[in-house]
Amino acid sequence: MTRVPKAVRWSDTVRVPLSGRFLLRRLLQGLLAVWMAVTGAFVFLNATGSPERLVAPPDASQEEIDRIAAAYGFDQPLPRQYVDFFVKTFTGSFPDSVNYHVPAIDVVLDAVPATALLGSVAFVAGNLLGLLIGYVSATSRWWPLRSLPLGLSRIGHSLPAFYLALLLVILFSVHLRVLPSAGYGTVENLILPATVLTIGVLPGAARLYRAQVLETAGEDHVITAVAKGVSRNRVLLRHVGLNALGPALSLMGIQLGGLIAGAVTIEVIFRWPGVGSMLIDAVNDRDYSVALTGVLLVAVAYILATLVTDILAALVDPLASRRA
Amino acid sequence: MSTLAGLTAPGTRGRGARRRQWWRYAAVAPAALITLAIVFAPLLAPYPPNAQDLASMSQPPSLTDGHLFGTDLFGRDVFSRVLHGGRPPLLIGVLAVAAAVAVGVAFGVLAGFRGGRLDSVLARVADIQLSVPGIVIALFVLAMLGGGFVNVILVIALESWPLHFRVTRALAQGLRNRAFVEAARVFGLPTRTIITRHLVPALLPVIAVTATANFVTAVLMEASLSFLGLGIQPPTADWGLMVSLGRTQIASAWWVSVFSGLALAALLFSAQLLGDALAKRFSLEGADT
Repeated sequence: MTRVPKAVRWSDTVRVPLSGRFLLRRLLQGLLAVWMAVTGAFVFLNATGSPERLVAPPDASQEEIDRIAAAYGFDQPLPRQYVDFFVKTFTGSFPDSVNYHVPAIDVVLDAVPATALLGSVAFVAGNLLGLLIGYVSATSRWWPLRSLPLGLSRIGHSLPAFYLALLLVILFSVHLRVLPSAGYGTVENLILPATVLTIGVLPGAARLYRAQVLETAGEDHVITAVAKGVSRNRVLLRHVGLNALGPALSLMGIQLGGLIAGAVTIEVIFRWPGVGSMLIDAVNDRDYSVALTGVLLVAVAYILATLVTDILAALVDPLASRRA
Repeated sequence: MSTLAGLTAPGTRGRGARRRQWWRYAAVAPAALITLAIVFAPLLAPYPPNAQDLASMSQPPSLTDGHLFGTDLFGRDVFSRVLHGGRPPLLIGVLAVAAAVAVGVAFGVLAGFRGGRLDSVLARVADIQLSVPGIVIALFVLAMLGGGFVNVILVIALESWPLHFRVTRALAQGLRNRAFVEAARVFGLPTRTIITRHLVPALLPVIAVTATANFVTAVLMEASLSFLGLGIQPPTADWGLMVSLGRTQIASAWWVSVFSGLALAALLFSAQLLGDALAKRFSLEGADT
């Protein structure tokens, strides 16, 4: 029997610190999570007995309930409904919005840009400031710099977002009259909600990065660098600071998803026309088609965001893929 | 000594043996004080929380005329309502955490101690649940079932159990092969006794820390949901709800929402202090989840 020479695989020649197994496993996990989330919503809708009654307004007549059941397909056998539910989720074809008389998916997608704008500003500002505060509080030799920014960020963190928002409105809109208390469209409108959301993002990044910098500073390669005579600042920035970034990156993935959800109260306060306001409006108006589409979209977006950042984090910090 | 001046890893700045200093316990005081004030609100409050007095609507705070924090749009005493308004968050926080801890620890010990297929199934379910943001689950469930006391507790407990599950599971896996557990097994004790007598007591400090951390998020969640109108319903006094009610009149009557929000922030902050102190006491520093 002749031996076939072993084919040269791309992973033997290209040095990418990502194993196919890790990617595949992580991808499967993401798909499983999406499947579970959608199934969970379906089971929950049906576990209450008659989903058409949940979806119908409380004073609906029997004919109206029957009509809703037919529109949503609740009169079909369960396995059929289950398949339909998936098709509807991924084609965005739940019944039209009760209030706007347009497809529910359009109502949801209309709200995405506002949330994306607010979220990306807060994400970038919060993480940059958080890393800076974490780095300074770990490495500064002057005690006020070591403890004050971190302490302040913790106090900010223990204030509920909606309360912090309210205090800022009282100060800047009611008393100083320099910023609008609510609205959308101008840069002034963005400042207050973005600040509140930034303060929500910042402390987690700061604490994690600080801890990681301190831990990295104790590693052998740092001792080597110091012994070599590398200057303190260079050791701290290049050997400690950069190597400590891995866990902070993983946290950013969790935050990215959290921003979609975490902005709910902030969007409501500042009447910011994003996904959070849209969800609350849909819930209050009993516009279930929109609420369902919105919840499923947020869940899928969240799972995808963590998936992408996990892969990015594995590129930056190959050890992380073995930990996961 | 650290190689780099001024840098010491957490926990290595020890001054010899750990002494029991009284101020280590000071962190309990703020949380205990606030809890007592909330529990004994009916005794401390000068007015019933829902007593309307239309003759004195939207009075500003005053030290002299009997309304320390002023009155709201219906002439209700804000100070009395702030005291009573802590009862829903406190009760919901405690009950939701108790439920989450019970489920999380039971599953965690089972999964960690037994291992096998049960373990991998439970771990996967917990992972997936963590992969969907809690407030989204809460919005969905509460939108369908309606708000209210029991539903809010269920939603928060549902969102929180994976935290306790993951921590307990990891610890139980570590403890499974420790000498004292081995000894109990050699002794012929039934698994149930090993778990309840040997495993769970060893887990208690960690559970105390995760439960306190969970309490903070649970109270915050309750307040946010009530603020959004999906939790506690009016006219019950509740901090989140009161901030929301006062929001429409912040220009004319800021005191309605500012004091209830302040009370909420104080409870959250004191619980966080307590959690940090517990983590330090059991030297779990840096083990934040």
